[in-house]
Amino acid sequence: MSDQAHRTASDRETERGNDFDRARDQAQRMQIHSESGVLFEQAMAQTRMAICLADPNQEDQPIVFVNRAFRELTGYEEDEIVGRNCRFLQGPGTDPAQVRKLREAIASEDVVVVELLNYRKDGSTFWNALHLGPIYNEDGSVRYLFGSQWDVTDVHAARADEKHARMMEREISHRMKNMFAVISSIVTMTGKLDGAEGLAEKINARIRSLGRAHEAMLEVSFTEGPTDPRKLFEDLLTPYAPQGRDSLTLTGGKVPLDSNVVSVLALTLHELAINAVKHGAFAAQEGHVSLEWQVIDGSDGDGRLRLLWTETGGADPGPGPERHGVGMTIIGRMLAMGEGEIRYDWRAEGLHVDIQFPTSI
Amino acid sequence: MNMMDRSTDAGRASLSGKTILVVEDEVLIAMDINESLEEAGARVVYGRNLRQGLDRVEQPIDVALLDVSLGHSETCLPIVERLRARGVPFVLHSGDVQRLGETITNIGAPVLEKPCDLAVIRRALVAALATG
Repeated sequence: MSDQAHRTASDRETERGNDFDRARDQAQRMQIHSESGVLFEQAMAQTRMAICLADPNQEDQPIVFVNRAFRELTGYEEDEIVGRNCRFLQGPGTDPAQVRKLREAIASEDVVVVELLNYRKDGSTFWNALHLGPIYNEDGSVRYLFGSQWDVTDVHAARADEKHARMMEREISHRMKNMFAVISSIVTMTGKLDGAEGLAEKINARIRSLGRAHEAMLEVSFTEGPTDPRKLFEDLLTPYAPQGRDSLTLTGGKVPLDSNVVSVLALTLHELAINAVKHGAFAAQEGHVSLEWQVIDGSDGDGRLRLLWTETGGADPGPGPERHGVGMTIIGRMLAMGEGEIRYDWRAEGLHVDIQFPTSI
Repeated sequence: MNMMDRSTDAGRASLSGKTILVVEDEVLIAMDINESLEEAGARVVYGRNLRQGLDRVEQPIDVALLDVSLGHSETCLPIVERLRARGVPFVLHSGDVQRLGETITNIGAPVLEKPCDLAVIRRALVAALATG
């Protein structure tokens, strides 16, 4: 590369001239004449796509033409390539199944695209997306096999990374579910043995909500900008809704969420849902909860997530409790810690709650 | 947890009257820790991210408890520098000890691995106060 950087413009000029000459020589050898011959020469010399032509009518189908990009890709000189069958690029790591596919396509005069692990002259490997197809004579007989190759090593690496990431994701999901299940069992067992089954169940319900929330957000990459919290809300609330998803109206778009906001969201919605089951909309078959969310600007310029929770169709909640229960105390303290706020409005048609907290805690 | 707190009394007397900086980005964990420290008679100065931690570190502080990773790929290192400059002792608290191995070792302070018992946190803060 550095070598190339030092070349003068006239060197490059000479080289390009040589390339054109070479392409012309080869074109003449292949009896391509006139205007199309000139076009062929120039196109082959300029394209960054590695191209080769092989003659299917000669013994062992030797390569009869390669362009500069092909030489650069493989590291071989022209005289080391022309006259040989394409398979000299293969090596021990090349998948025989792909080679077979290639051979069958040649035999049946099909166009085929395969990805092969190929080897350069220096022994290094590259993933070659090889497109191969027949070029016909006017009489319909095959004149050349046209091969274009593209180095897709980067794509391959990215795909392998992605596969690995998916595997890890599944593994983490599995372990997380197990962990939440184990915690749950311990709580249940301890509660039973200590005569506090009711308390254990309350704790477990919260743990389950946390588990569901983190599970729903597992596939979300928090670093990649705004995320859609709909699945999170659905997974959290559906188990408590008398008619499942039909008891819910979820309105809102993507919001920027930090991973540590998930627990806060999960517990907040859990407590509201539990309260609705006990005293509100989820206590009635026809009860309904509407959850709206949006991002608003906070006083310090940071985004704040605003949630509006509106219950309808349940019993009249009355003037509201004198003293907040455990659940509401937890939400209140938690939100205060994170500089959030919560306001309850005990309307006759149902509880209305307005919650705000920073999107990044 | 509460029953255990009462039975071990660890760090109660010695944290009384102290000002403790707690930097922790999981508010639920912070809630638990801060309450436990306040019950031990300490005054807690709380920061839930790096910015707030840096802001609050300039107040008079006796000892600090720092969560190492603070989200947005930020760590508590800038706070560590300020504490070091002022000679304030501190304890690290991390759920990411494996991934942050080198960062943590380089800081060279006592490390508590999450999840960590509240009594253990209080004892570690008392110990840090004694050495600082």
